Amino acid sequence: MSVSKLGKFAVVGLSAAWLAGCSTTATESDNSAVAEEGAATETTESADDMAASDDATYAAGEDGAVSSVIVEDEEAMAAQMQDVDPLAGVSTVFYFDFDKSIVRPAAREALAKHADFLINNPDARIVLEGHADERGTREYNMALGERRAKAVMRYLTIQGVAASQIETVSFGEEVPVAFGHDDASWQLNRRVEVRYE
Amino acid sequence: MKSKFVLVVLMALLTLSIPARAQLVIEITSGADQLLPVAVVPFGYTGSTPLPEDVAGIVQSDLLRSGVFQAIPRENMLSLPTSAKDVFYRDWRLLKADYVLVGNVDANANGTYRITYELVNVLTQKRVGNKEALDVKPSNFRDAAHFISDKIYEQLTGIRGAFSTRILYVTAEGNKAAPTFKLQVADADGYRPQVVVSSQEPILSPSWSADGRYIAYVMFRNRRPNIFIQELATGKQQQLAQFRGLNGAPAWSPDGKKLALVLSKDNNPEIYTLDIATKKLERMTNHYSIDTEPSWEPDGNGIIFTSDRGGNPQIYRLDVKSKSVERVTFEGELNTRARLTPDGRYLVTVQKNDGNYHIALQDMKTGRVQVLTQTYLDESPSIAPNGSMVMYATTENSKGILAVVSVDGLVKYKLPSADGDVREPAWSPYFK
Amino acid sequence: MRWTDKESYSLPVVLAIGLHVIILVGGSVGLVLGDDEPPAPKRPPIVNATIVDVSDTIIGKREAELRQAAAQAQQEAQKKAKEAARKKAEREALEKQRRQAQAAQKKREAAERKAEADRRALLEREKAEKARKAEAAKKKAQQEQAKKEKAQQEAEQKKRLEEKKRAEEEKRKRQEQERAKELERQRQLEAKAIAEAEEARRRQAEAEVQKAIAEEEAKQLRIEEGQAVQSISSLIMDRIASVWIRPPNARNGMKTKLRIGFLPSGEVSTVDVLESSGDSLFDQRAKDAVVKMGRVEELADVDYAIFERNFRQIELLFNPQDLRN
Repeated sequence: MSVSKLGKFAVVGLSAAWLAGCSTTATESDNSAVAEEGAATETTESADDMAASDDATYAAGEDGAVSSVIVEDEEAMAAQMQDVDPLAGVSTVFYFDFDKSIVRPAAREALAKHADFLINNPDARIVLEGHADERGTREYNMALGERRAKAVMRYLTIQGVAASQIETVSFGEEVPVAFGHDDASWQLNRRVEVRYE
Repeated sequence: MKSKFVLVVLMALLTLSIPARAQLVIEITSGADQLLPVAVVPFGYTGSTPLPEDVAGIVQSDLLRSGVFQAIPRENMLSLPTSAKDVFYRDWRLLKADYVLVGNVDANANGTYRITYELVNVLTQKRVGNKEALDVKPSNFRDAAHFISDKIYEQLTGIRGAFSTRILYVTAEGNKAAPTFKLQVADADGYRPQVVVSSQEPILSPSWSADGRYIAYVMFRNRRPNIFIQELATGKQQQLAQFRGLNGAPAWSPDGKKLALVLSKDNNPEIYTLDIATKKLERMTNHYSIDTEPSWEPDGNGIIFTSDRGGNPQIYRLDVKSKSVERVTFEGELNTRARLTPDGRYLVTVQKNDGNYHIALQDMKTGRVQVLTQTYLDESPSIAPNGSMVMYATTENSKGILAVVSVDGLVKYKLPSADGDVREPAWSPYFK
Repeated sequence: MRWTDKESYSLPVVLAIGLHVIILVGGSVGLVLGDDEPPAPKRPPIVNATIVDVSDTIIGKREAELRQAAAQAQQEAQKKAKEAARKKAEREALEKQRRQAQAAQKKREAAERKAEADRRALLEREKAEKARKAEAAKKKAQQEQAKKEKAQQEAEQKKRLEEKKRAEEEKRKRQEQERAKELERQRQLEAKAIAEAEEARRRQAEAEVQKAIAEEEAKQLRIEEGQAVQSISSLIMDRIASVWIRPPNARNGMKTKLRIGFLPSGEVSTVDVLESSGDSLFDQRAKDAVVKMGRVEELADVDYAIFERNFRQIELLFNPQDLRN
């Protein structure tokens, strides 16, 4: 349980790194602060590495960070590669600005792939899990997380995905992935995760 | 300053017009910024078996925590009287104690103890109230101490004491990435915590029923939020009907019959009320924005809640009958999760100013707003049933802790640290 | 002719009557015309005396009868006054004729009875003279008497008038004197009043000056006392404010008034609630503050009179204005 979770977090971190790397225009003070302050956790460390190389877009995703993930969760990665998952390498975590629920342009490509998959697999069901950073009150953040999940859902339904395939759930600030009390951690925690059921 | 001015005016009048035999009246318009000095003398005990608790010590801690009193340190005491008749007033005048609490513990034959206590006014050299006696089991010594604290507090402040109340809170222990969530109940001073429910998934928003017998809370199951009602004494748990989307922020109505809650089953978060007996659900708000964090007014006529319908989150009031909504807060970048004092006079919110989240107090009569806390990431304010104190969650050294601030903002203290991250305090009502 | 008979009395009787009638008529005419015409020439007194003599001496007992006749004649004359007046000239002429005849007859008779007549006339003259003299004397006496009386009366009158005048004069003088006296008295009174008023004014002015001085002194004392009272009061106020611990439920606007008794030493002897705030705890803390303040040593140095006037008993109004609520 804890092992698989760790792997999941690693993936999350990777995705975050990738996203951060290719969305410099969208990221504001949040991301610039990341480099300055550094981070306590492994996942944010990798995010830092990625953020540093500006033009290392997709290739950066297969960089050291990936290998480190593989090291930690070899089995999972191996399984994914065997199945030739159409969503292999496609981001499942999408980030948001503070107190905002607008899907960033950087997320569109990945979301389009999820949309294709769902359209092609009408039996597939996803849960969009919305999250918020620790700032603000818990129940308000529950609502904020849900609003983000619904933003992603709307994006998918516009792509043609049936609403019946999508469920939104919010965890508010209860399940962070980064535990610092800084902009970097908060950016990583303001997210929607796509979870296939 | 002001009082001096008044006196000058008074004296000017005296000099000008009042003949020499006029009654001299001196007006005093300001007082001492000083806490009431009380000496809590260790209670007398002559038994051989050690006592389970230092009753006087607990009472002193309670009184000190209230922010209304200052204590005369034990080591300074010149004598340790155990009854009013033994109090040598000059000693206590010397120590500048205005009031002295004396008491005694005697072992009863049946294994219980008799605790007697008396409060005396050093200035008038008279006993305040009567000499009281309690018979308690060793396991109830803390209860007895809190009971005495309540009595003394009420005698010296005119306000009912809340030392015998309890608090609910949530802890997240263990691995940060996969913590164990525990809903716990403890004495108001944080002592004697007991786990009510434990889960690997998040628990939040604990709430007390008006009589303190039941609690409601949100607990995730299978990665989805659920609202539970639980009887504290028996641990009997009941899950409310679960809806798609949010199931959150349960708040018991003052009459104990309804639960206000937040559901997003109709697309976005709205306030609903649920009749607990009939299970009848009634939608109270209807707005495309976020409406959440309901809390009942003391008389049950209104529900205050958080809404970002104005652009950013602020507090609004919902009239339960007409369902009309009006905005309540206007100061600060945002205000969320409001609670009203039991007298309805003050509104406590989490207010954001310059990027910082603090507990703010808004006078509902004057509209005046005062920020009560300066700690970090303050949230989840909960008010003591006597309206004197606000308990809230804050972050210290990257760890969630509970802290208390007096409604006047002058008294602040932290609750003893528990394991893990502590959050979501909920102060109980008085237990009848 | 018989009536020319010397022995007969008829002629003199007729003459007498005629004379009477003439007199009466003439008198009445004179009376009647008296106002318009110049009075008839006065008859010589002798004629009158003769007629009177005749009537007196001759008629005697028939006096009343004659008088009656005369009255009748008078009445008649009166009745025929106008007629008589009209026939006056005629009658006068007749009269003149008759007189001439009478005069002629008289001459004759006079001559005839000269002796007798003379003797008689002499006798009668003597008698008449005597009577006349007596009458004249009497009349004179009477006149003199009257004159005397009149003079006396006049004298008396004059005397009385003079006396009266004198009396009045005296009275007037007296009154004048009295008036003068009165005036004098009033003048004196006024003078006295003015003097007194002046004195009073002077005294008042003096008193006012004294009063002003006294007031100035009193004011000075009051200022000094006021300063003393103010300094001690502000001391008490500060000390109490520094030890007055309000209960948490105290609110601005709550008021408790205490009455404090001080001993000259500065010690608080009594503390009583004059006006309660309605909150026993608020009241109690106010009382506690007074006890805590303890002895005000500075009061021991205050002038005893000032202490007695101001600090023997004071009132303290606890009226918080600095509370948050």
